[in-house]
Amino acid sequence: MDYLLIEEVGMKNKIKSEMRRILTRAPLIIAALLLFALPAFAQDDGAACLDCHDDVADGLVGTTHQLTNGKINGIQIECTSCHKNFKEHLEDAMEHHPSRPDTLSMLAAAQLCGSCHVTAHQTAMVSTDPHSRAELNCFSCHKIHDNKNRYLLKDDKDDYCTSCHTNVKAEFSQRSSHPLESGNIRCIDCHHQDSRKDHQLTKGFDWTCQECHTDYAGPYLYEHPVVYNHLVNGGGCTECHNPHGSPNERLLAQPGNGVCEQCHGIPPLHLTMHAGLGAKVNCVNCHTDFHGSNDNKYFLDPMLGTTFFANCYQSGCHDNVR
Amino acid sequence: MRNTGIIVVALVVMLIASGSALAAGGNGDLKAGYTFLNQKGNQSMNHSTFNVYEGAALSLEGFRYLFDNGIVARADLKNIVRNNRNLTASLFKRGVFDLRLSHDKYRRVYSFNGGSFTRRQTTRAQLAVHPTDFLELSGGGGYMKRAGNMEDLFNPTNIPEQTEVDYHRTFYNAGIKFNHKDSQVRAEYRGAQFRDNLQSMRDQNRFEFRTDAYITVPKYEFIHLLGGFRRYVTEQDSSKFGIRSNRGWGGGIIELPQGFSVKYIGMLDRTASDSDFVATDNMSHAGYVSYDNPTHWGATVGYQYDVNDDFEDEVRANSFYASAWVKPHPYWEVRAEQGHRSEDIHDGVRLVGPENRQRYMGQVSFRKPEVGSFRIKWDGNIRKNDDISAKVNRNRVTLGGTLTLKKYGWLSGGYSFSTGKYENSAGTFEFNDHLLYGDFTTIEYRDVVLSAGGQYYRSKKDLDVEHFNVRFSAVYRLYKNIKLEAKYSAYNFDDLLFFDNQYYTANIVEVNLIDALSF
Repeated sequence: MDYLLIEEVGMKNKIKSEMRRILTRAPLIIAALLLFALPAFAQDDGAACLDCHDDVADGLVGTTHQLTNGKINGIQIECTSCHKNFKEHLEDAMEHHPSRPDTLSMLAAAQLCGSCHVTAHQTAMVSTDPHSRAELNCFSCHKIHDNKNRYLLKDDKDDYCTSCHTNVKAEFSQRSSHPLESGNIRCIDCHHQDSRKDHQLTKGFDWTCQECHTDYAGPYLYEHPVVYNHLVNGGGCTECHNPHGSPNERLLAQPGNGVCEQCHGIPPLHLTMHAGLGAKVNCVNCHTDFHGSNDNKYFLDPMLGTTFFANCYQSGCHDNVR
Repeated sequence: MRNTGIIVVALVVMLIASGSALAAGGNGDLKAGYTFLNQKGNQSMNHSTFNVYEGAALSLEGFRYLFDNGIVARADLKNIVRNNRNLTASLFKRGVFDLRLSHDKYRRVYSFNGGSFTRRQTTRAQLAVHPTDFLELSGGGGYMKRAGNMEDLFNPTNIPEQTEVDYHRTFYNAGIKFNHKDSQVRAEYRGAQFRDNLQSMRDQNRFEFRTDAYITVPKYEFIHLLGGFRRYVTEQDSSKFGIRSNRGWGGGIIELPQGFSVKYIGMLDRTASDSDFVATDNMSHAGYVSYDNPTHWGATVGYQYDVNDDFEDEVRANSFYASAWVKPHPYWEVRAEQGHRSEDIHDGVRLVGPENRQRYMGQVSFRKPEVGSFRIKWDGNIRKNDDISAKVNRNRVTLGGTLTLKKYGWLSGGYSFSTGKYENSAGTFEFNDHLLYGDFTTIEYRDVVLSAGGQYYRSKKDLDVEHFNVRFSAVYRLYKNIKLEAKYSAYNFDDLLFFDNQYYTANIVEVNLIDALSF
């Protein structure tokens, strides 16, 4: 009986191990299938359009819009998928021209492209995205024919957006800036145009900064409201830092105490007590934990009482700040 | 090194795959070279040269390979063997799968001699597969690490004090998307762990779940509905203090006859913090009406009403938006945009009082594809907090253009002038910035392509900063696809208010041998 039980357990373990082996190898098997077992694309060289415009088809080879001969995995792409009025054009090529998607309105272009490309990018583009509000359509950024660039963008550069946002390009040339010029980041790293995008481009922007600068992110026991003001329409980090570039160090909007004084001014007691010492030094010399503190609600350096002002906390005057 | 290994293995797999399939064709530039760097001054001053290293470099740029079975492999591997590497690679087949890999590494210098710096490196992988034409499954993850020493910016003793930094972040995501015609429903889960290797009490965990939908109403294709929900949690690993945010939104777009359309978006959001036991509620309603005549003109007007209600106050805000564009000629376009937001403290008090914001933009542009383009743009924004006598006013004028000279080459350039004035009860800060830039590249003549460019920046008023760079390059076709490239660039930075140590000069010479691969 025991022997049978052992054998049964052994069999179960063997099945488990076999299952585990299959599961661990499944991604490789799927990848291999995807690489080698799928049908090839063939060029639709029989289409009537190509009798005259054969060079156009060549420019689509290897791109998302390569013409298909019939349906491939449920997708069929032919000239008339995008260009309408072709029948009239066939009858009289000089008199009637097929439609040009790049002349469509924002909504009409989004609908045309959306008949195949339904992505979060498009969803956002037709809702509250600033580009849609400014009536820019898909073809303002993307070029379909004779284009081998990523995402069929008109230009493959990391700072492509600055070809329109020339004013922003200038910001990246200031004293401190994010490393866009050196190609270490791209515009879309922060301004998500893909599935991570918020329903408004700038909403929740402070969450975006924390993707890289997590070390300054909360939560803290004592939050600095401007850092974590819980607003959905901006605010947060960008209240003190100019994200693209700044004429000051560390992307700060103003040098020295200016950033703090923009909201706090100079607290009156800093001007009067201890011969105005509090107004003579940089705010952050004492308020070191300005992003947020786990030690005190004034964001003071937890070591302040032992390093800078040794007797402040012991004197009985400032023991209430902790 | 471990991350680099992963990338190298992935690339080897791609290359093996490329060898075993029927090759249809590809191209790319294989570049090997050497960089000579001569620099003096404060290395923390010039951001553009933080990632220039002297030594040998190897790159594969713009690599693209199309297999007969429709799979496309891409790679852009810059400085593979150096510390400023930037590597991206992808493998995709339309409508079937899309695999993307990336790895980059760069540094930020903080001290005069460059000894104090932090280095950041990030490795990512993302895979999307389409089992059917209406379904997409995606998932991926990555690892980001930052380590080194940074110098404190505001040091009262003027003796550089360094802070050690050493943390890493791992992140992952999984998602599913259904789409049918022009409708879509998707859901995604994201997670991340932040680990500080020096102060474990700063460790954090983050989670995000989001789902949204965009639906075109069947039989009423002129109506589109959209909406979604997002839950976001970030919490300290040790104390479990957390911030939790729940947001839902919804709305619709109605296309009306004659090019008119109407949009509405409504949103509710509650963000609560364990650390101070308060919650902030946000409510927002936004509506837009647009008219669009594709080839001639379009206009949009919008209104938004926001309520921000937290522990101490309730702020209500009205926002107005208007934009318009006109194309008086196919080559010319005039565009203008204006937004205004005005707050009212409905309940309680707030340190900064009610805030009013304005932003505006006007632009005239000319674009003739075979000739070039020209644009003049003015934009700015104003922020006022009357209760604390604070005001910010920023304005910028930008001129820029490109010119194609078929027989000679391409020219681009521009000028930007920006002003900023920050006022508050304690003082003011003002700056006037000038930026001039330009580039010229010739067509190939007698196997040689020349290019030259430069940039000049000057910040005046309360600051006095000047920096510029010039660059020249020549590419000579040695033999068929083999080219020799020589580049010279110079950088200069001077802070004219601080003569002692705020200057930097660099001369950089780069020589590359380029093999323009073609299969």
